[in-house]
Amino acid sequence: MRVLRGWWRNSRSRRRANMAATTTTLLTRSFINFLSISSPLSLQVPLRSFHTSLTACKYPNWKMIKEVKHRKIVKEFAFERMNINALRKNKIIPPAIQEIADKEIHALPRKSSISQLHKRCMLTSRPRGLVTRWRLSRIVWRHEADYNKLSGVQRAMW
Amino acid sequence: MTALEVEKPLLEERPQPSQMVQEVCAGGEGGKLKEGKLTSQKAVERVIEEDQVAVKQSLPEEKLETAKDKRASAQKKLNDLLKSLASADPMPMEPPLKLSKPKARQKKPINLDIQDQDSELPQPDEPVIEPELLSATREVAESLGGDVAATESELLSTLRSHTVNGSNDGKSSIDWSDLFVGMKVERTQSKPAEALPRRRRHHQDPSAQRTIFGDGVPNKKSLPRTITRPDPRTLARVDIFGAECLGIFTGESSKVSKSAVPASSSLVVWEAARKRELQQCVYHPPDNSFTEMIQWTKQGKLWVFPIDNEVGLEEEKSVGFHEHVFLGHHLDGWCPQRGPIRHFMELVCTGLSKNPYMTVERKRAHLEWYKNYFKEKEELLKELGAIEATP
Repeated sequence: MRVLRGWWRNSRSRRRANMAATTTTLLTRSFINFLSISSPLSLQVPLRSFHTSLTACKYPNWKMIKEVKHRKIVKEFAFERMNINALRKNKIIPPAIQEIADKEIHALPRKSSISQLHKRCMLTSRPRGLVTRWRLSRIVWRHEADYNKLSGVQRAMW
Repeated sequence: MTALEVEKPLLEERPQPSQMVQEVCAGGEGGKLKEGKLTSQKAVERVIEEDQVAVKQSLPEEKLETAKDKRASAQKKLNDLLKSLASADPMPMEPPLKLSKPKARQKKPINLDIQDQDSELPQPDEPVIEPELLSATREVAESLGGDVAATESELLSTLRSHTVNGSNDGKSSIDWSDLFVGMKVERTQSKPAEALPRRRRHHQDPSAQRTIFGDGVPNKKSLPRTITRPDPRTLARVDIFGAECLGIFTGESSKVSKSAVPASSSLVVWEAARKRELQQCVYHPPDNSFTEMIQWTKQGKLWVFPIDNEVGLEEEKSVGFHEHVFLGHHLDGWCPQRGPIRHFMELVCTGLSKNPYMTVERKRAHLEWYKNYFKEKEELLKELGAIEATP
């Protein structure tokens, strides 16, 4: 049950990180200003150190971080891939051009493919047993449902 | 235990006089004072007559003398008693053991009329016991033996209290008071709930400052382990319907705020920076989950309620449907009139026109991409015969 412990621990630590104190040093304030001058929405003040907005602090797992990067690449090439696939998957365009299109899409990075993505639980990074709609693993899903955090989810009884 | 010791033999060994006394005091069930007095007089007379008879039955001469002596002594004693009653403290009790005794509660009837009150004022001094009663009590005490004065005074006190209370109380008041006099009664002292401090930490403000050290992390020890709930008595009374409706769930407030923004000065960046600085100064961690949700909503993590499906697509409202549906004119100029490419592009256009989730710019970008793609492949297409060579 290491996964569960990690999720609980990380969620607690993230909550503590969000609960920032009012007193900040000059350095941190300037750091905030340096970071985000144009975005008035972000209000989170870093607590005790710098580098709290790193990707590693946000996700429970390095695998999860890799998956996040994977998805970013997918988003980047999604437009191109869609167009090229539309050329490929029809019987109107001459086959010569379709072959060229095949090569072109093969040349694109492998990670840009949606089918290469492997979904993970957003809280525990569990690769299997996911409930797709909530992007959670079945264990976390069940826990949240029991604590009435999932809208419209109720214990089945008939 | 003196009172009990005195009264027990009264009840057990000498039933007759005690019964007479009790009858005298009780005066029957629910009887009035006057009736009690009458019966008491009669009873006392009987007692006296009995004693006199008993005295007379012995040697006549001696009996007469003793009767006379007794009468004289009784009168003397009466006088003494009356004097003692008239004096300040008529209760010269000195019991060997100091025990906690319940106070004889005198139930004074509530009188609305002032006249009655005036008449009742001398009542505490009034409980005058008849001289015959007094003599009877004296004789009883003497017959018992032991500490005569004490027993007599006790009997008189009971008589007095009974006369004050009236005959309504009956035997019950005497019995209970007599029973519990010697016993130690546990008394639960009522704790003043308001006097106790509700919060263990008296100084809230300095402790808040103390919690935060150089790290900026709240000290674990200084933080309260249990949540101190605010005293409901000290919280301000909130009138729910006093203020205007916020319109959170109807979406009125957001619409109003958007329209009501006035035109500010030209220093836009300054204003933004000043605003940001204020926000940073005043930043507090969320007090509760509601403020946390407000924070997240401002950050864009949570949806704004009431939920609007077209959040982020405000500009799309200004775009008409004709721009989404009629995309054929984008093919003009570059797309051939006939051939597989035209067929393909028309299918693309119909597909895009049916898509309500895409912005118009993105649709145009798709068509633009195809235009570029086919432009690159123009020579190949001409070789294949897909594009007719323009004459």
